[in-house]
Amino acid sequence: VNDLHDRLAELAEAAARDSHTEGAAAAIRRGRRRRRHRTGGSAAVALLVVVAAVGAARLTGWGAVDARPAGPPASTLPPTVSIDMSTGPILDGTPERQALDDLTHELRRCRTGDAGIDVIGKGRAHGRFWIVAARAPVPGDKGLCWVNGLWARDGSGNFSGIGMTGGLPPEIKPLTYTGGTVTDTFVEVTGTMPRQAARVRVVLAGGTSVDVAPLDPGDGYPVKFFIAFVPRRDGSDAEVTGLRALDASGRTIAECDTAADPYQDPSSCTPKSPVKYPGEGWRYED
Amino acid sequence: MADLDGFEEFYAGAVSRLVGQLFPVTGDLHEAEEVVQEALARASARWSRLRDYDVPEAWVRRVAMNLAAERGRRLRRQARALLRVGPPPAVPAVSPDALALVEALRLLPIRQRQAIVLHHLLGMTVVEVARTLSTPPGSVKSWLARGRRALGARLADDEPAGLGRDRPARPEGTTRKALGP
Repeated sequence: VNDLHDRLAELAEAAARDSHTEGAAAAIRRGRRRRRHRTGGSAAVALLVVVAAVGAARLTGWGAVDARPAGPPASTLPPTVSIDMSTGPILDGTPERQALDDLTHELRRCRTGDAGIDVIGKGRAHGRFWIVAARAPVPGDKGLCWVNGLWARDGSGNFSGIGMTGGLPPEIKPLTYTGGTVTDTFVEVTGTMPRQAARVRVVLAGGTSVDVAPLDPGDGYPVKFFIAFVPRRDGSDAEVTGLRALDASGRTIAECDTAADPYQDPSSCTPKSPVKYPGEGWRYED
Repeated sequence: MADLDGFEEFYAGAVSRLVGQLFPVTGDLHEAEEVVQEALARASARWSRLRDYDVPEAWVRRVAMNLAAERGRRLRRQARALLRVGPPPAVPAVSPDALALVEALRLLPIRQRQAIVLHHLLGMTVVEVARTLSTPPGSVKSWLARGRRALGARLADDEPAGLGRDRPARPEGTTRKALGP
């Protein structure tokens, strides 16, 4: 594939030469229709957010899979809705177990963190099941290894998570998100939030926002996690334009404005006020 | 309308180039045209903000890439549900070598296709590709490595005797998304 660039360029040039699009006027008309849909939709905002919180269920190895939540679901704050959080064990031979094995496989490639794998949370949404898993950092770690995924009932699906360089995750940031599964009807958004936060607000294009309660993995972690399923109406744009972490009183303690970045780089999140995380006062309890 | 000042010029200058860049990703010319048109429609709806970007085309390309992935998943689901093969994809007139590349690209998961096009056609760095696809750089490196390996095997064996030896790539729905190299 040494000439890959040349071959791709030939394809691109041929496609550009032979393409026939509807023109700028048609694009503008379509854009106006989309805007009308979005405006109409926001008048009757229905926020369906799957949120829940569980403690971590420590898995001590491949053979000991017990995903019992350590604590009750976190209280939810309006307009957050918490539904269908799974709390039972993950049984051998099920698609859920296979999905967990895939996540575990990836987490074991990470060169930091505790040897155990924690199921931070799991649940069901839109006829699918999701899992967020991580390895608790140990003293000296600057990064955090975590993954999340969404699968259909038959086990087909995908997962993503924090990227690694040479097996090392990037330095922990208090407020991040990853772009997850996107379908015609919803967008999955998963990320981390400061431990002091009681909820995180996911701000969408057009100003719509949804509030999400945390998945609290316990004090062994410098951050909490969240997962949200943001509904799409008529294919409306559910692009994330900002995140805001709020404490129990509703005060903003960290936020990032991805709208300021055309590439919406999740790493551009900027804390609004000091939050503790490794390197800035977060303490491990040995 | 003042909000759309400059949009038509932007459209005229970018649309063909974008279709060319999306075609290797979709493998179907009509599909590439549709996702680019939709992305440009979305751009028109927020042009008053986008026109101030240094490179509005990068935003449109990113949206089109996302739409291509989204539509690809939906079409595969529909094809599976109907248990039939759809009409042959539309391709422009190209050389046999380039046609072989189209066929080889179609067998790759969409994320690998996107990464290869952005990196090898547009010359983006791994970090730039990661930003465009909203994914960690480690994932991009992995997609590039796997994609090049698969393409290399297929294109090197492009002679008649070699084509049947490779296993097809796993469907995207079951692809393990690597987290790093």
